[in-house]
Amino acid sequence: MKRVFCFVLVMLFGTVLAQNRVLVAATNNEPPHLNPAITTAGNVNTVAGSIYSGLVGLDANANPVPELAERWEVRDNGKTYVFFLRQGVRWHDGQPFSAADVKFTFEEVLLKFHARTRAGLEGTLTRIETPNANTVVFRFANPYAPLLRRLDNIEAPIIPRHLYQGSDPLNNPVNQRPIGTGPFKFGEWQRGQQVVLLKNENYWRQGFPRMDRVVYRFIPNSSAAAAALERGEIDYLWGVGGADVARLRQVQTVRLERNPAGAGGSYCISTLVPNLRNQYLKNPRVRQAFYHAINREFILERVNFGQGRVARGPIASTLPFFDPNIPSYAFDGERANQLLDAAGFPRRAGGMRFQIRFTFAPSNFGSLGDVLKDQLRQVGIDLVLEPLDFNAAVDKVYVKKDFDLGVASLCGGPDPDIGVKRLLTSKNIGPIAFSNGSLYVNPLVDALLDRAVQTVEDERRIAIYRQLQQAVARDLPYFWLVETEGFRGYRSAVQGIQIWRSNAFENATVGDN
Amino acid sequence: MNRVQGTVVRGRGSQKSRLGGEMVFVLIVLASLLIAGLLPSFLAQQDPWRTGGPALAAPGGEYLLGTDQLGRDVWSRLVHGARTSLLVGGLATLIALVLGGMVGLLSGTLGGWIDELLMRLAELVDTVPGLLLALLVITLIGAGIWQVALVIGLTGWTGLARVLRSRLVSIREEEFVVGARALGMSEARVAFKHMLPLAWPALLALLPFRLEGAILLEASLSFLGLGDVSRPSWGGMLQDAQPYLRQAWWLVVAPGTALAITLFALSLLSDHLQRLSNPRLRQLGKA
Amino acid sequence: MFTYATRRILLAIPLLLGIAALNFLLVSTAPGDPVIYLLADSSDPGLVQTLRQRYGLDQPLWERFGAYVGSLLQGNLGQSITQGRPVLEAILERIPASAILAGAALLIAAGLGIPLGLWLAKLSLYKPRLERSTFLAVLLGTGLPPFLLGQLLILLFALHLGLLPTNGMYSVRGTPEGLSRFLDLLLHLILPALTLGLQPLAAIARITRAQALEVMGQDFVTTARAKGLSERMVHIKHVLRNALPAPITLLGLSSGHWVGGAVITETVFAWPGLGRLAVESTLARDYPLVIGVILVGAIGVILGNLIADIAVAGLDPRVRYE
Repeated sequence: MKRVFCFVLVMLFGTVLAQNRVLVAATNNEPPHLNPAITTAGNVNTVAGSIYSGLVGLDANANPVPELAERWEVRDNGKTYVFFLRQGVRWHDGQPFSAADVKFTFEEVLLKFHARTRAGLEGTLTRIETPNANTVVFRFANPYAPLLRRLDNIEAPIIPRHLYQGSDPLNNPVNQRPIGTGPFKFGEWQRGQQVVLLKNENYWRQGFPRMDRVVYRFIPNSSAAAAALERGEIDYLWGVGGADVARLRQVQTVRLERNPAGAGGSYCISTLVPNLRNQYLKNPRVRQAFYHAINREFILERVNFGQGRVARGPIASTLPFFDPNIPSYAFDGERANQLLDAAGFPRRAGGMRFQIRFTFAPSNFGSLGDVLKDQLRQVGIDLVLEPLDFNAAVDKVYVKKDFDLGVASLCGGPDPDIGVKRLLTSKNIGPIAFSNGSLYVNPLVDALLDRAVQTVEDERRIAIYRQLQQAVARDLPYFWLVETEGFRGYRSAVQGIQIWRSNAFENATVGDN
Repeated sequence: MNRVQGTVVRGRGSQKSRLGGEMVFVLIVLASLLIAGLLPSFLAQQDPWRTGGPALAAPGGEYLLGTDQLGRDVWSRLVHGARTSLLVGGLATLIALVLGGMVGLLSGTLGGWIDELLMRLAELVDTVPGLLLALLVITLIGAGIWQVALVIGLTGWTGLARVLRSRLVSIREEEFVVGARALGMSEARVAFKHMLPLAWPALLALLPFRLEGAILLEASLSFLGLGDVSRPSWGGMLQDAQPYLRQAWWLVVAPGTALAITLFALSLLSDHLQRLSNPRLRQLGKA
Repeated sequence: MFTYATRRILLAIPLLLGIAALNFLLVSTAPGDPVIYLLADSSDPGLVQTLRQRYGLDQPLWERFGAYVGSLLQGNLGQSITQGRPVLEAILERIPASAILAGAALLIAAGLGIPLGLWLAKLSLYKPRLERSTFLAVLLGTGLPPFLLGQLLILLFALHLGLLPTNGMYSVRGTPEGLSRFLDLLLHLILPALTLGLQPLAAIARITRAQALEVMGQDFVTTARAKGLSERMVHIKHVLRNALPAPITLLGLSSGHWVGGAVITETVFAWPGLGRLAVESTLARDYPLVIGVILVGAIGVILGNLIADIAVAGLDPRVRYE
């Protein structure tokens, strides 16, 4: 029996050796389609990032670097941007890429269906001009500072006009068989299993990519994915499950790497969303007590397996905009008890003061509910868990507003305008997912947010955002728990993966292990 | 031939005593479950919700069965989990029994278009794969233990209804029932007085089977992230434990063993009841 | 038989319509919204409005219901909201993987379960003690939840012994052709099929055993023996023939397991079948796709029962097609 197995293995291994320039990357989340211009979903970007390009890329420090645009000029104090496109770039089907593709993508697709690009540019972008096939001009009503950081292939991937024009971009068959300008072209999609990408021989960056094929394998169970990495069935794993990190560290052929920020310089903060209209949580002293009662170090250690940092505010501590001097509300049960007594909510018979419902999705936040329930009952707050699936939880908290306390993983980009503004501005209160969910209204904060967008110099913008963080830390419209980080695992034979880019494999190679 | 018969007869004597031994085992298991379910704090002093102990401490010492990632006492959670599992399983079984019993009784005694209608309904329920339906409904109405029990109960009654119905239909034609009817007894009286007492053992024999299915389904829903997380349950513990299969075996072994022993005892019980309720097998035993 | 099968299939059509209608109402009135999924983590009122109009979610429920049932009556399962392509296309792709897994698990369950049950029944006449302990072991085997069983199998056969792959349907590096492709599939199939098939195996063994024991006690078997038929002939001719209908009917009735139960197995082994599609489309509230998968599952159950009934009728001349 064993001999048969060995025979089979040798046969299979033979085919493996024949094509060793294959990189196998695994993720737990299969995308529904591969058009990154109509969605902000991470699972689409994970795969489509290798197929499409943006006008401008981002380096490891989230600074803009040339991609489809070879160079650019900022004119009129930030009201006009001129991009000079790289010449001779071709789509994967051989058609030439030109300025018309850029104009079409923005006007017909991104500004209609890409939520973050819409939020950033709608209303302020007045015109896109294409004076010739290799030049694109963006004209704004007011100076628009964040533009260069919003043009990478996650925020603004350029899709082919000749295939999308006159069609419904949501239902275009090209979404299933994408044609891009990136380092890899689409090969095959075996649904439920894997997407195979092939080397783009005509890629504009000479000598790249270095692999013949990249296979994206979809493995929903994280323990099984870790096992596959350990066995060498896969080369690279996005998001190693927290429980698997310790064990994979012991495996010699596997290396783990912390990624301080996601692709495009983005970050995510797991954040509690209190309903500021709730009879208890509308009281600022109750909110302060609440924050003091939560042991964020413990949550980081046990729920997030030490992957990340304790969060203190809406802007990630890794960004230059972060203000290290905001109050931190350290874990202090005694202080929490005092504040709650002073707020007029004494402990009643049974030791509890009042009840708060916690609406959340255990599939996304694991044992966070168990931990919060235990920590809050120490100060007499009775947290009633209301576990739902993710979609229903978002619906209940954000759309129906039928909640006391919710939770969300709120992500932002390298510029606070992406991601932070939507949570805090009073203009964004409504039945909309991931809007200003706590129903927070502070005119000072509104004014600061508006001023920050129209200011171009980084120094002055940093000052404005610091002022904003001070105000928000006083009001506590949210409880920021952990700036989450992931571990990515790869076989030690793999080199050159650029985790900060969405086309992470352009430079990757797999040696003999 | 004679030799064979001899063995059979000899074997039967010891079989009886062994069956007795098995039933004692079943009773012990069920009794400990009942104690755990009713008086969990009696068996486990630690607070099962208290986090903050050392993470993944091995069994022995301060923690009888070790701790989990959040530092909670596994023994305590196991004991309190018995209550959840029993509650979900028992409640689901009860719902299934009431529904299945009613449908089976109506179908089997009345017959005609009511029978036809009810059996179509059972078919409708059976045609949708159980776990898919449970998945859908739990996703939509939320994952409390009441909801889980309700879903399992609502999808699990059809088998009970069918067994009861077929039993009743076969009894309906037996001489003494026909006779009773001929003597002018009302349908309802015939049904309750003469038919049901003969039919219900078959139903009873299926109950442990239902309970078993309910406990397993609760565990499966937990695996898909749709269990009730607000109280410890064996299914939930197993689901929490699966990433630690190789680092903290006790997290899997504790609830796994508890679940396996419980299901085992229930299977034994159901097997035994089936044997008792089946007249032919009983006859074989007497031969 | 042919007319019987046709009639049963025709009768199933209203049943399927009923299932689709019920599920549509169930999904549409429940909390959650496909637009939440489409938006990913962004918030944009204008986009929400665009998308709601796009997918008709701004229409009253009864109008959407009417439109859905209308298109269903024309044989159209609709367009998947998340994938942006026809539901039928998305489902058809997944059927081969599901069918292969179910077929293999069925083979394990029936191919091992029925002989095991017969053997146990026979054994109980000769060696009751051994029979009892084997039977108890079978019972114990049913108590392991499939998600744990699957992971234990991965641990043992993939990681510890290094014999079998951990995930997927085919090897990821290079797609071998011909025979080696088949062997590749076989290697990938073993663990998931075991995981899915073990529980039904125990159930089949159990019911076959009970049925065989019952048959053995009946008059005609005793008569056959008395007529001088050899034990082997008695078994094949009478016991097997009369004991088989029960496990076959059970297999037919439990065909839901092969579709629904596979969700867990598919998740553990990254098997590209319909179960994962059901989970993912439910979480995304992709209504047309959810109902489509449920309908395909229901068709599977109806066919499974039909095949089982025909098989039973073939075995037992007393059974007639009604």
